[in-house]
Amino acid sequence: MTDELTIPLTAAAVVAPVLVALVLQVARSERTAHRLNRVGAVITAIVGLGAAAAMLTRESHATSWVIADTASGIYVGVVTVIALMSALLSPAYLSGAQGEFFAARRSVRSYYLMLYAFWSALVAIPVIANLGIGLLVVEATTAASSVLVAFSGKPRALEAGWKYLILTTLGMSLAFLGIVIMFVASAARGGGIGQLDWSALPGTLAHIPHGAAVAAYALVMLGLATKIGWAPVHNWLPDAHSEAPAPVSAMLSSALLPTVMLLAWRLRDAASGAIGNTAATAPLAAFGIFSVAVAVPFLWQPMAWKRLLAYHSLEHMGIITVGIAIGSPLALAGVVLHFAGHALAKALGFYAAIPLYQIQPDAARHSARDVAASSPTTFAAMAVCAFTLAGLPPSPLFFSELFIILGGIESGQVVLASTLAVLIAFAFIGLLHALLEALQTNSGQDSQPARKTSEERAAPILIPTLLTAAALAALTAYAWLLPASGIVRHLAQGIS
Amino acid sequence: MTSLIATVCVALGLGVVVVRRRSVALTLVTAQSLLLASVALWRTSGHLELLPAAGGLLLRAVAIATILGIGIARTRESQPVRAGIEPMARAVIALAALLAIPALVPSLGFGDQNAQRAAIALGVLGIVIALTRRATILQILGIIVAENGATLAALSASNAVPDVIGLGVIFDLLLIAVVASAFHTRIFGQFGSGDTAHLRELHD
Repeated sequence: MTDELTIPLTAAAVVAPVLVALVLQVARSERTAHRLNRVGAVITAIVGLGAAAAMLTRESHATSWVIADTASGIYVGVVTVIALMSALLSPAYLSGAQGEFFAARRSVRSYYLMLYAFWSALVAIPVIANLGIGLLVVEATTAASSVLVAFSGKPRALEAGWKYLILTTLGMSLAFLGIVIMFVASAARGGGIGQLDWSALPGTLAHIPHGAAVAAYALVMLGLATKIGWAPVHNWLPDAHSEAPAPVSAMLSSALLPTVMLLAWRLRDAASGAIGNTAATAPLAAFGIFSVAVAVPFLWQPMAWKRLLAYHSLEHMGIITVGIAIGSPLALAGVVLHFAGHALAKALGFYAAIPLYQIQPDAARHSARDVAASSPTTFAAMAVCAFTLAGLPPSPLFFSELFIILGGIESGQVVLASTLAVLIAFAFIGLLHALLEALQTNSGQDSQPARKTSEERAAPILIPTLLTAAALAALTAYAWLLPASGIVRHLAQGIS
Repeated sequence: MTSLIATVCVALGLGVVVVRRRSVALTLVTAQSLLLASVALWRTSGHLELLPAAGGLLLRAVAIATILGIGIARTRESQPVRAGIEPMARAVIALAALLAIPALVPSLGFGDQNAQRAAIALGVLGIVIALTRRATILQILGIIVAENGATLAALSASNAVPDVIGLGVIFDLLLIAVVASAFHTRIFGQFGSGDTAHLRELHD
């Protein structure tokens, strides 16, 4: 593959989901829509993974619109895998759910329209070469994903979708105010959209008054924080993740949050020269540690499976953020590993909720019980997810957390690293607690036919469970090579 | 951007904090948006390159007024949705925040300090409106007031904010207004009222 092909392939990865969404609108029946979805998802994923491979294997380069570097490659690759799995498992979700947000006759097509629009935006965010346009796309994800969150049309889903829409849009309004401040303050430089290109942004911020640079940085970071769901501006996150359709929850948690975080990461690198590395990094460290600390007490409470996973999103986004704040090569190896491992495991956890809520409707409100007895497949998916997220060896998250903590100690940030280590230990015990509850049994009261029905409902997640377990094992093996790899070398040089 | 226009924009935003009726609040925000669009159109004389953004602002003001106006007309409340905080208390909160701005916000490189204060003030008022009002329509209007703060800041600049950003923000806001209006209709259909007090089931 030549370098010249990377940019067109990247553009195709953004456009392909939109085309699939449009094609799906002509489907005359739900069955046809599901078939077109399967074919379209696979084709789109091939294009996306091709683009990711091109970005990871070729020299970094950028046009005025697209940036194709190591970070973009990693994010596009992971987003594509998660979106593919979500699209392929959507028929299983839709077969057991009623969407009342849209009129019944176009509910499935509208679901797919929003899902693929969301997919397109998620691929676009890491490859857009400009902060301002990146923020516009982040804002656009809110429109598509808030409707998906409220897809069921039930009161709880409406509440979650509304809260998500209002809080994140308000946050993005502040981010745009930050962007305007950058333009106003840089009037002497003549203006132009190119000022916000990632490659030009360090110069733009360096040539505006210090106070304006700090204010603009703070406003944009605060706006991104509301979208990432960093504590204390995370109120929408547990509600949206727990009430959205399971495939959408997976995309929110495994793809949206870390992808928006990539913008915060690039912005930190771009602003470090102008406002100082300490000032640029301090908000990340504070948001990261505070997010983990806020999540921990909730991880100890018995609660519905998806809501528990939502609080784990808060925790794991916090861990990744602290890794970015530490910024040493070892910590960045941890960041990459944690991002990929968390994305796979968390997505599987949400997919497990598809059969779980069909088998135990009560599990949407309360902690799941008897899962091991009633549906071993569902339990296996939950177990792979929980053991991975808990960071038990040989989970890749064990190594990623170790890398981040050791990276912090190695670079002299001992207090930050040790605080993180203590909080992770508390979170670990909380997740095991949830898994043990799912193991509890009512002394085998499930009849043989009931168990058979449960296993039939769990059949769609069997292959994803096996593939995810294999991918997680491969990530663990790769963890040994990652710190000395070219990927980490590139990231450590800065990604703005 | 004259001080008078900046002051009128803030006064209209303050009005949204205290008024009871959704239709009155929509009128105030529409007036604010149209005022900003007028300033943008006035700036196009001799600078035709500014026309797309000015036209976009005008379209935005009219489109949002239409979308939300239809939303209000289709969902008649039997009585105005009461906010959790009384109007006088909301006004005191908003005024306290506005008075604190000059002391808390340093110079951000705006040539016109009044425009800087007004832009930040509208951002703050937008947050106050969205967080203290319970009616869905009023929460949407809070977002628009905050976005108008960014618009006012952009109009005070001697250099133009690029069309890609200006028109992109307008497009995004219209998209959000359409989605928010759909939410408002569903919430009203579900609870018989656009009062977000009904949306309090989710908590830990």
